[in-house]
Amino acid sequence: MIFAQNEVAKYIVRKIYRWFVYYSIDAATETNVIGPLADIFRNSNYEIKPLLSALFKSEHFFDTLNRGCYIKTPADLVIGSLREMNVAFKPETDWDTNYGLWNTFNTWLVNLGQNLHDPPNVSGMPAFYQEPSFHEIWINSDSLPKRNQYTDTMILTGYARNGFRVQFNCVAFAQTLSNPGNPNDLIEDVLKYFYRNDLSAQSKAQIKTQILLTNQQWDYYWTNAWAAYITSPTTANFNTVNTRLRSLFQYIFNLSEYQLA
Amino acid sequence: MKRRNFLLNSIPAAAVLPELIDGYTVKAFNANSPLVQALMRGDTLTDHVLVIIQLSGGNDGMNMVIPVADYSNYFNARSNIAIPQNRVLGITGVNGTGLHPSMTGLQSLFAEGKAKLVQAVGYPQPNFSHFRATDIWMSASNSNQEVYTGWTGRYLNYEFPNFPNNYPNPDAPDPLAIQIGSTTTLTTQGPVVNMGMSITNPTTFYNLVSGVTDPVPNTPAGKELSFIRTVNQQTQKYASVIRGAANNVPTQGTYPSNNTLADQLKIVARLVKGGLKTRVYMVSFGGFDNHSVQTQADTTTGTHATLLQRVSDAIKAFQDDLRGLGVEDRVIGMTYSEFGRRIKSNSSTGTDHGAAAPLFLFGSGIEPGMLGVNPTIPVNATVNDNVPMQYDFRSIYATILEKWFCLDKSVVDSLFPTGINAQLQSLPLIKAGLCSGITPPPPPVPASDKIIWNYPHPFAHNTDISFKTQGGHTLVQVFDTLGRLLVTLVEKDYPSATTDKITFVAVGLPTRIYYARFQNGVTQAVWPMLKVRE
Repeated sequence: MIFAQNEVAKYIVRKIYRWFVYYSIDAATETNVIGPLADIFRNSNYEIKPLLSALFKSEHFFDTLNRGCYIKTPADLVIGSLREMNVAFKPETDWDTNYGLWNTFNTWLVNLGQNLHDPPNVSGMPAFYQEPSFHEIWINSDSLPKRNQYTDTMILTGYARNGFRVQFNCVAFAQTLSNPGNPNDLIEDVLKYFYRNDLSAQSKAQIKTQILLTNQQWDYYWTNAWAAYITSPTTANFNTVNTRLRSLFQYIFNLSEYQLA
Repeated sequence: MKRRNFLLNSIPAAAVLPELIDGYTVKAFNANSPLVQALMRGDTLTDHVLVIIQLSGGNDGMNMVIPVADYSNYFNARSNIAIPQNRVLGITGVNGTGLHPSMTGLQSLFAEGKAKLVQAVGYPQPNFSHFRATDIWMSASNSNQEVYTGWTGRYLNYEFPNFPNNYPNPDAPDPLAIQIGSTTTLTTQGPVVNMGMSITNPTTFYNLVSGVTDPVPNTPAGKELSFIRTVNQQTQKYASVIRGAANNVPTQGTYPSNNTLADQLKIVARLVKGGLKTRVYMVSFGGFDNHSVQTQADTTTGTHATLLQRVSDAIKAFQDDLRGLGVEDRVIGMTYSEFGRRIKSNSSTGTDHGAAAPLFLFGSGIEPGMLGVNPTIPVNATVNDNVPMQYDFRSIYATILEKWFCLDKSVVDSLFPTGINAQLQSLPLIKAGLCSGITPPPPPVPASDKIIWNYPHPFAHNTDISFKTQGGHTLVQVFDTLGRLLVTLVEKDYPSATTDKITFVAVGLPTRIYYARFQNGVTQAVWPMLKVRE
C-alpha cells in the first residue's frame, strides 16, 4: 500500500538527487527530473540500480550548469586532498606510523565538523538533510579558515611520525604534469586537476605573473628555472622552483573555488 | 616631538617598562602600565611606516642615475642608449651626478630635501638570476646561503611574537604588514608563519573596501562560490579594519592615471591616513627587464623612460598626498630592484643582467642628498663589466630598522644571518632624533680625503693596499670587474685610529682592474687598482 504511493519514490529520489547532483530542487527539476526518475524507480520495483543508471546517463547529470556546485565535506577535503596530492603512507605492516598519522587527519575531520564515526544523532550529519542550507552548513567563520590552515600545513610542513613525514611535495607533483616548464600549461593543468570550475584568463595571468614569475615579465624565466632544476637538482635550484610552487598551491587551495567539488 | 617618542623619552627605562627600550611593542604598555596605555590609545601619528617599492626585472641603474662627471666613459660604454649630457636632470646639492630626464617628480623631491640617492647598492657574489636575486633581497641572506624567512618578517616576529595566535588583539588590531600584489612574499615570511597580509590586487582591494564581490556565474556552482566568498570575507580577520581605515579617507590628492604603481601607492596612503598601524607596506612594479629596445632612437624616450617616469611621478604624487593628508612625517619609502644591469649596453639597444645599482629613499624623515660616489666606469668597458658594489643592501635594511623603527643595534644584528651582521653599517640615511636614545653617528670622512690607496699602481704581481681606519670594525675587500668578491683581506676591530697596510696577492690573476673596497663605521670607499702583465 505504501509503495503504491508516488510520493514514496519521489522522496527517495530527491535524497539521491541531493547527494549526487545538487541540494536545491526547483519546480522545473521536480517536474522534469524527479517525477520521471520516480516513475523509473517505482516501475522497476524499487530497485536502486535502474534509477542510478538512468540518472548517471542523463543529459541533466552532465549539464555544465550542474557541475562543481557541491561543497566538499570535511572528508572530501582532507582525504580527497591527500589523494589529489599523491601523498603516500607507509606499507600497512607499519601500523604504528600509519595509525598515528591517520589519527591526525581524523582530528582534522572532527575539527572541521565531521566526526565520521560519531554523527550528532540518528539523522546523521545535518549538512546532508537540513533544509534550506544543506552542505553550506560545512562552511562557517570557524571552519573555513581551518580548511585553509589544513591545506597550508600540508604544503608548508606536513605531519611526521616515527621519522616519516607526509607532506604535499609540490615539485614532485609538478613533475607529473604534461609540461611543467611552461608556466601557462602548468597553471592550466593544475587548475584542471584541482578545480571543477575554470578561472578567468585574467586571473590565470595574474597568478602566473605574481607567483610563478615573481613579477617578471617573461615566461622563460620560469622555464629556465624549471629546466635548471631538472638538469641539476641542487638545493639552490630546488628552492627556486619549490618556493614558487608552494606559493602557487597555497593560493589555489585558499581560493574559494577549491571548496567546491 | 612625536607624542609617542615623548613618552618613550620620558619614561625611566629599566624600572617601569623594560621592554620599551628594546622593542616598541605596545603590549609592553598594556602589561605594565594601564595609564600609559590609555595615553597611547588612538595616537596613530607616532607609528613609523616603511613602504618598499620593488622594481621587478632588474632596473638599469646607470641610465636612471647618470654619472655626469664621468660622462665620456659612460657614453663610450653605452653610446646606443646613453642619455645626452644636456638632458640629464640635476640633483639639488649633488654635483657630477644626475637623473634620467623623465624623473622630474623625483628631482623636485630632491629639491624639497625629501629624497636620498644611495649609489651602487649590492652584495658580494652577485647572482644574475631574477628569482634567486629576488630571494636574496627579500631574505637578506648571503649569496651562497638559503634563508627561508624574510627580513621584515623576522623584524615583525621580534616585535609581535606568536603571531597569528591571538591576533588581531586590542594592542595590535591591524595587519602587521600589507603586501599589495602577490599572495605570499618571502619578505614578510617569519620564522613560523607569514607576518604579512596580501591584498591580491588593487581591484580586489577596492572590492574589499566597497564590500563588493566579483561576479559569479548564474549557476548552482556560482551560488555556492559566492556563499563561500562571503564567508571568506567575513572571516578575513583584518577585512573590517582595512575597510574601516579606507573609509576614513574620503578624499586624496591627485595621482597620475595609467600608472599601476601610483594606484598601489594611493591605497597605501589611504590606509596610513585611515589609521592602520601597519608598519610595512610592499608594492611592486615590473617591466624593467629590458634586454632589447630599452630606448627609442631618441634615447630619452622608450620603454625604460616610460617606466622611470611612472616610478618618479607615482612617488612624487604619493609624497604630496601624504603631506596633504598630514601623515608625511610617519612614512618613508625605498625603491629597490633585484639587480642592476651591465655597464656596457648590448647591440639591441638594451642592457643585460648586472650587479650593484643605485636605490632611492624618500620621505620627510630622510637625510637628503647622495650617499656614495659615481660608480667607476672602465675606459673601455667590456660586456661583463659590472658596477662595483659600494654599499651592502643589508646595511640599508639595518639602518632603517635601527633609525626608523628604532630597534637597538644588537637586536638589529640578531635579525640578520650570522656572518654578515658584524659587517652591517649604520648609514646616514635617516634624520637624527626620530628615535629615542640614538645618538647621530659621526659624519663620514669627506670624499676628498684619501682613505684607501695602493702601491705599486699599476702593479704586476702583488700590491700593498693602505687604508686609514678611525678604529672599530674595519673591512677591506677586493672585487673583480664582474662584481664578485674575490677576497676579504681585513676584517677586524682596530682599538684606535690608525693607518694600516695589507698585501693583495694577485699572482696568477688575469690582468685587469680590481676594486678594493674599504668599510669602517659609516665610511666606505671603492678604489680601482690596475693589474698589468706579470
